[in-house]
Amino acid sequence: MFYSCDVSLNPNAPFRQRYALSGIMRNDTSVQVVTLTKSYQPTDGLNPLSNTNDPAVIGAEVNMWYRDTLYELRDTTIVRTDTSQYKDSVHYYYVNNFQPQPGEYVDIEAVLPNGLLLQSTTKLPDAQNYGFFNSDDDRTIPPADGRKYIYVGWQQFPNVLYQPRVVITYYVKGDTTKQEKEVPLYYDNINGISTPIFPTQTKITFFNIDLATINRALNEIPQGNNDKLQYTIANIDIQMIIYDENLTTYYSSMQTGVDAFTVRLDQPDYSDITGGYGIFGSYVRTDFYLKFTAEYLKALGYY
Amino acid sequence: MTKNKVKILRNIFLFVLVPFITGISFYSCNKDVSVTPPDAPPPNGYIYINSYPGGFHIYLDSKARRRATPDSITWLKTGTYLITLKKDLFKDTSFTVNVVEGEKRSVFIDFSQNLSMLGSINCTSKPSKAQIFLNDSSTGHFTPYTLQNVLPGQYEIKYHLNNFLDDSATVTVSSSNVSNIQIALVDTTLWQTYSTKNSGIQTNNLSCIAIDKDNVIWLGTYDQGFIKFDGNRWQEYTSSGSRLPDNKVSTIVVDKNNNLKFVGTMRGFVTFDGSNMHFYGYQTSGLPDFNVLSIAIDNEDNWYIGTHAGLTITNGSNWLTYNTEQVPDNLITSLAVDYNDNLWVGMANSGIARKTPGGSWYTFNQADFQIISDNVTSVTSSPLGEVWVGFAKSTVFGSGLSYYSGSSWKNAYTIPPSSKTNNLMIDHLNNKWVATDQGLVKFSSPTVSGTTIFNFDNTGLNISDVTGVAEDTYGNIWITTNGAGLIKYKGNH
Repeated sequence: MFYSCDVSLNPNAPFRQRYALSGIMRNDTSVQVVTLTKSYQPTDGLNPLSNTNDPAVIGAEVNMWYRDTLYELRDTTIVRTDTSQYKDSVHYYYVNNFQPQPGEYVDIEAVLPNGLLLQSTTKLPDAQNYGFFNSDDDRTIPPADGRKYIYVGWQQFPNVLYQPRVVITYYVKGDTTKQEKEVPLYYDNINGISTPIFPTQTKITFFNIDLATINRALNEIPQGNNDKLQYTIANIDIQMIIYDENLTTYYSSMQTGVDAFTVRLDQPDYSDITGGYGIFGSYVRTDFYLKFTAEYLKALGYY
Repeated sequence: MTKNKVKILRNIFLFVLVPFITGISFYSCNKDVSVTPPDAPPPNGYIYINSYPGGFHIYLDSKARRRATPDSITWLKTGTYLITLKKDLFKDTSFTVNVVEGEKRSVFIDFSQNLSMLGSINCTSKPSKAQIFLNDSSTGHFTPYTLQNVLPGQYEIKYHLNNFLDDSATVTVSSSNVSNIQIALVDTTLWQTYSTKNSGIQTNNLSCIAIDKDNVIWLGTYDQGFIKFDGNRWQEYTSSGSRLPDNKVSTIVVDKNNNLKFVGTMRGFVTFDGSNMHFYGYQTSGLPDFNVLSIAIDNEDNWYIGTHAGLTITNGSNWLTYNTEQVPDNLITSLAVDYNDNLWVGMANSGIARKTPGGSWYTFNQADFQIISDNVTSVTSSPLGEVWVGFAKSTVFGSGLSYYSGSSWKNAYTIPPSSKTNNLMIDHLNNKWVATDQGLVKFSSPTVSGTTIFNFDNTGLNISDVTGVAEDTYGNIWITTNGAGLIKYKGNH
């Protein structure tokens, strides 16, 4: 009787093959890339890292439509350079000469070799460069009205996330390569250490940066080299990435954890792929430039 | 214990306890198991689409597919789909197909049976009644005729008419449209062409022409030196195979004794007696400049060489360059010796100068003599003593001609608007022939009404850029063109 009730415990659910389509359409490149992957069973018990074969799906027919034109994606491989557990090449699908523009739709459809159909659509945020930013009119540092901070604001769109990045662009004498020095929003005192706080994904449509913060970043450019005349400061570049609704929803769903060590039982499992899993989204990048006055740079020793 | 009691206990054990314990044991192992239903297989609806002609791009529900007829679309769900077929030059065709999973649908579209998909070709020719060939097959029709119900695409239409050159052109036909093709056929009783396509001539880019007394044709070219054509053989003389200094020939002249041919280039000139070639260059002779633009020979066998640095007279040994009081311009574009042995000198900026046999010089310019322009491009003389001069277009006048009757100048605006008169020739019937960059002009008297302009429209020949014109002893007119080779006109007898 007791023997008949003895059942060994298997924590794995019955394995079901699932497929994921992922890609981010960008307006700042003419090469667009998507990946097709499939679920897999660990080869060594419960350890997912035991599988060292890239779970890519090859041989699928992947098409995109943009402004009523069909774009056929080709599959290809590159040598893996990442540190993941996979040992073979990276498989992906790509298309050249395709640079979607803000405000436009891109449809994607992947027909897998077994006939399964994965579909999705993204609309690139309608953020054109002209008129997107509504910052200081004079666009100079320091501001002409005597403020001790710069203000950068931009248009608000429904259901999108913004990812600003502020950099000082400069050149080292004798080198035509443009260099970047990232500028934080401010410095915070964390455990007695002055720590730069950089902008993150946000729905807020403006930020201010004190001139003192900019000065500090400028002074950090030489990295110990006291001869500032070896550097030519170009400008401040506000690099703004605007995520579409799909990516905004995805990133929002990922930010529900209490901390980095907590796993929620109801962890959101967001996907915008019909017929499978994955994320198909887009972002638009736009730039805004502020110029330093010569007097300002001279006062810091750069002239 | 009695036997009955034992029997009762045994029965209780067999019929009550054993089933009870067995039931308990099975019940204790009974668990509810939740089973996820199996995945549904992908839909397997299938459409095969074929067409005549093939190669139509297939659109499914208005979205392009990587498919062209004949091909199939698979993995479809049961439903109704809008199929659109598209191809360049054809109208789009749309239809619906009901697809049922597990079944194969097949569609064939014959575009040749749909009249709205077809086009027409309206064939005309000058003259008419030419036989029409479509892609080398006779249609059985003659111009003018409209070929109906032609599948869209590109076709070669060829015309054939006796005593005219066969000619052809490519025409593009699209759905519900009429494409027109009109060809002016070349009358072979009047015209004969010599190009790299149909003869041994080495280039179609001819710059000038001279015909000797034996009716041998001497041709200057822009890129292949000069060519001798005796009616059968094309003999080429280039800078790599002879003493010719450059392959771009500016002028070619035959002396009055039919012995020497003079060939001017931008690097000096040569004389050629049929066997030997002698080179005269800047600094190696008395030539004042590299660039030779014009040559003339007078009755005394003096050679006049017009260059970028003035006019020189020589006999090959002695050289004299005229000064600016005699010839006021350095750019000597054209030279001619008239029947009274006067030398006429065309200049690029200063009109015309004349040297009498006695050595006196006169200059005729626009301000004093009301000639059309001071920019002379060509000059020739007639047996009647007239001297005809062609001019380039000026800011005031179009290009044109003036002629000198022996006592005064008269203007004859008998050529069409053109930027340049390249060459002048007066035939044995006193017709004037003008080579221009807009065609060939012929007139007998200086009136507009008596003028004939030969161009593509009325000859079918590409004679838009005529560079030279000459007459043989049979009265044939030979024309050099830049791009279309050599043309012979037989209608001047």
